[in-house]
Amino acid sequence: MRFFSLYRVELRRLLLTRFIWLISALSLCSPLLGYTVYKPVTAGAMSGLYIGNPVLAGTAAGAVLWAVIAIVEGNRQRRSGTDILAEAIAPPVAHSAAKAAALVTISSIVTALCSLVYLPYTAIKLDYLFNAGYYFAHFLVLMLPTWWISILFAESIYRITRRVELSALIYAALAYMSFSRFTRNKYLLQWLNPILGSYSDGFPDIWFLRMGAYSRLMWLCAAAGLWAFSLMCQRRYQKGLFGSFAKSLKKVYLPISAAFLIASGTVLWNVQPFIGHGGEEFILENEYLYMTSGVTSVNHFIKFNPAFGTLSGRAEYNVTTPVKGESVFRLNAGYNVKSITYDGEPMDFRTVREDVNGQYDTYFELPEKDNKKLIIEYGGFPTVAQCMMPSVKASIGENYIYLSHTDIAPLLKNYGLAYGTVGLEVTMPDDLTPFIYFEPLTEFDENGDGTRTYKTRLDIDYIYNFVAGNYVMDQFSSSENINFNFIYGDIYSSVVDEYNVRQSICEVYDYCTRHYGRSPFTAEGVFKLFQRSSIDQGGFAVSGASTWPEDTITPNTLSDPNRGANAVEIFIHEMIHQWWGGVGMWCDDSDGLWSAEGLTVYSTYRLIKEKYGELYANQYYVDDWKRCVDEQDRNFYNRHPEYLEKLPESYQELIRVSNSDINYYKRMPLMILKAEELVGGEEKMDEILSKMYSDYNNVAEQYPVSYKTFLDYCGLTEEDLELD
Amino acid sequence: MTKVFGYELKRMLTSGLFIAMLAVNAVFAWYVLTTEVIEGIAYTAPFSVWSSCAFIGKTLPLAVITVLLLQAGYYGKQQKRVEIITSAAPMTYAQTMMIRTSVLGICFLVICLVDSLLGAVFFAAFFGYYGFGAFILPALLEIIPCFVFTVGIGHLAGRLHCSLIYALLPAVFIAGFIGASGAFDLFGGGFFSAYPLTLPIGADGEPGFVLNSAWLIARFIYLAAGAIILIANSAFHPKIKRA
Repeated sequence: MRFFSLYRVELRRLLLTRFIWLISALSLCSPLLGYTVYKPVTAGAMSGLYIGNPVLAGTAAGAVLWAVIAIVEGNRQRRSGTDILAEAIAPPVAHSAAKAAALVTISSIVTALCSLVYLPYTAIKLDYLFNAGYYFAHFLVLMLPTWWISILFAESIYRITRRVELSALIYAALAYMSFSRFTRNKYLLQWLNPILGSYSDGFPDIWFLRMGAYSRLMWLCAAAGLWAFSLMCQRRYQKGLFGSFAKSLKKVYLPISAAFLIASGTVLWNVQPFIGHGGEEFILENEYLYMTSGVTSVNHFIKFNPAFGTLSGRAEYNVTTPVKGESVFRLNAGYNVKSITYDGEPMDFRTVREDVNGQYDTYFELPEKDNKKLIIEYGGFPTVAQCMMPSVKASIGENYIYLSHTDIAPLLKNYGLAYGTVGLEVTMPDDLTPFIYFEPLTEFDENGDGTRTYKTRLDIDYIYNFVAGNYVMDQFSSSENINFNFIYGDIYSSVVDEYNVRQSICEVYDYCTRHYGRSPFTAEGVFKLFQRSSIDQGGFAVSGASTWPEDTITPNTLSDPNRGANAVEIFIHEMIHQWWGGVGMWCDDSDGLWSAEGLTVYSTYRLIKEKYGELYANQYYVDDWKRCVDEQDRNFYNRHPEYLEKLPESYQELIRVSNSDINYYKRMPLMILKAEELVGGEEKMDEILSKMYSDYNNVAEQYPVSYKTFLDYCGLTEEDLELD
Repeated sequence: MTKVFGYELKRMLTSGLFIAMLAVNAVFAWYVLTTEVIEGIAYTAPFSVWSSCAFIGKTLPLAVITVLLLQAGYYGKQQKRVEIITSAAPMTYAQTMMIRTSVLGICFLVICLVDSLLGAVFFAAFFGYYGFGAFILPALLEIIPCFVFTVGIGHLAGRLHCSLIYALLPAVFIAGFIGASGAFDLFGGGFFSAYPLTLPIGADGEPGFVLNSAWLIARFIYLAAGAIILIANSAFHPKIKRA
């Protein structure tokens, strides 16, 4: 009862001080830093830019502000000399708890206000990508607990030291530690600035929020433990630190709760399931070769639990002849092997907990019985290898599931499927569409509990890649008889309709096929265009299918003037990359001028010229290129490169990036346009590009087309293409 | 009067608000230098007179906001309570206003000096440039009319109602950070970023520094208007309301 009356008094008193209003106002403003100076999430996903960055900036800056007020308030009574009086009236522990609770209450109200203040702007900016639950979860999971942690740390430090400047110094050192190189790869140690890595708008993944929540819980335990410990250091009976500490030990609940909370934090640190405990370098293991013999059939039974991000699986192998001695299989380090049976008999096994690229090896020995069934049951929360961070390559969420290799099924070292098919049964939420190598799984049974069990047989030897998300599959054909299977996130349906993306795809493929030749991927059958989540970085193309990056049709991309005059043209630009760069003809961009971008911008211009006429194309392309090149030439550092060298490296980098953007997107297209005039016009240039494409589109990435090669095809020299 | 001036100046310069805002101004000035000026304003050298004037112009809105916050103290409730006592001093209202305006002017100058000092350190450290003499006159032409006009408006607003000074803050913010780039740009940040782009380029690849007559006339208008408002404010003694 005493606590609640003290709490009410403290809360009222705090609300009457101007300082708390100032701190609250500054905390409300702190997310603004995320739009300008502090941008830890740099990927193109809109939710990262407009939710991740502001929340992280607000979290870190606000935490410092709340620490300031915690220290100032801690010192207030001592400064005014009323601390002795207050101690005589109110029990110190209850009083300290009431003060902390009052600050925590106000910080919670400010967090709620903060989430509401930035809501309209974020909703407008994210537009159709806005997800209210995802937005509020950031504030609840990251900002709120971090501010609490900061308050508890600051109060504890002040209570132990009883010196404002010393407390500020220690807090600053702890804050520095959180941002320093020391914690850069130890993500859970970043107590002030929880890490948020890859973001996706269409396939929102809550892996980082899960890790954020876990790390906040861990740090809350540690901070609360330190806070309980600091209560024992509270000076009493005019005694010093050690005398007061000895007196406080009589209150047994204080050391017990401090020890319990700190131990809880330590346990949480040790058993964290998110990041592997292996090294930061990827270990290349040539000796771990995959065998393709000894097994006549393989069946996998997988069940996802997206609420907890876990998987439980069963792998069945019909073993023809067991190998003598120990066999081994590899699984994601987050999984536990529940049982191994052979011919119905449980087998002994041992797991070597040595994390290699986020995986563990499990050893077992089979009895000499031929043609029996080996069953491995496993499950758990997939761990991300330390060497892969901050890119998440294994995640099971409500909206998106992405797993590969040993995240899906055991990789047996001694056994493999020589021929035949792999059976797969996957139980998962009924609103997600599963894909294996761009191929949707279509046959399923409804389970009646919001899940479906997909059953299929796959003509592959191992499941290397599994993706499930809210996908839409569109089928259409172009006038050049190219059949498309366009697979994209259903959140992008309105954009696909609004910007007539299907027509753009057909136009681009028809145009490029007519002018440069048929893409090897569209050679036969249906061509699949698969939108990949920006979480799953590093897309690829295989025969008959190509991935295209998620952010191709996000508002940010569709408003980037470098790529085209409007959203449709930007999308066209991205599609033309099927011919130039990426999955088409590779260009050697090492000289900072020649690149696939130049060819792509030029081709976009030509397509637009054909579509909308010369006047439009000149206005939005050629004139824009000329203006930007002129600005680049006028730039002080380009006129005086000697001054560029005087700048710090980070500024030099900024100017180099700006220059390379202009070179790639503006100067090179202008130079190709000049080449077009010199070689005899558009038709001649099309012939040259077509020949170059046909010669180089199948050449490996290691042998990209250089600027010199392009000049040789044109019969021109570098001097010929110099701009006036 | 000198004693009162000295006391007022000491009180203002040592106030927590001034020191905190001076620090904020310094941080902001460095931010402007290292993000905008470093690129060179309007394609000129970062240490050109154009860039220097644009730098001063971009830092002025925050300096004006600081002065308005300090000025709000003269019209606050606390000040009104002690006004009955301070008004007993053998000074006319005009003298009091002159002291207050001078104190605010010195605070404003200190901020501008700190900003300029940072600019000088930046130019010297980054580019080895020390020819600061050419920057002084254009900078004074930017600073003085801007101060006289805004302090005049501030006194007028404060006299009508204390909260009106706070209402001026967003107006200054908008005019300073999102404002026009024409000759009537009160601060000059926009004008000095846009005007050089309209001038012919010289042999060194940059437009020569010339002051636009329209801009000079606008500075004179701001200076005259501010001075008139200040004189009018000082001439008419407001009635003291007893609390």
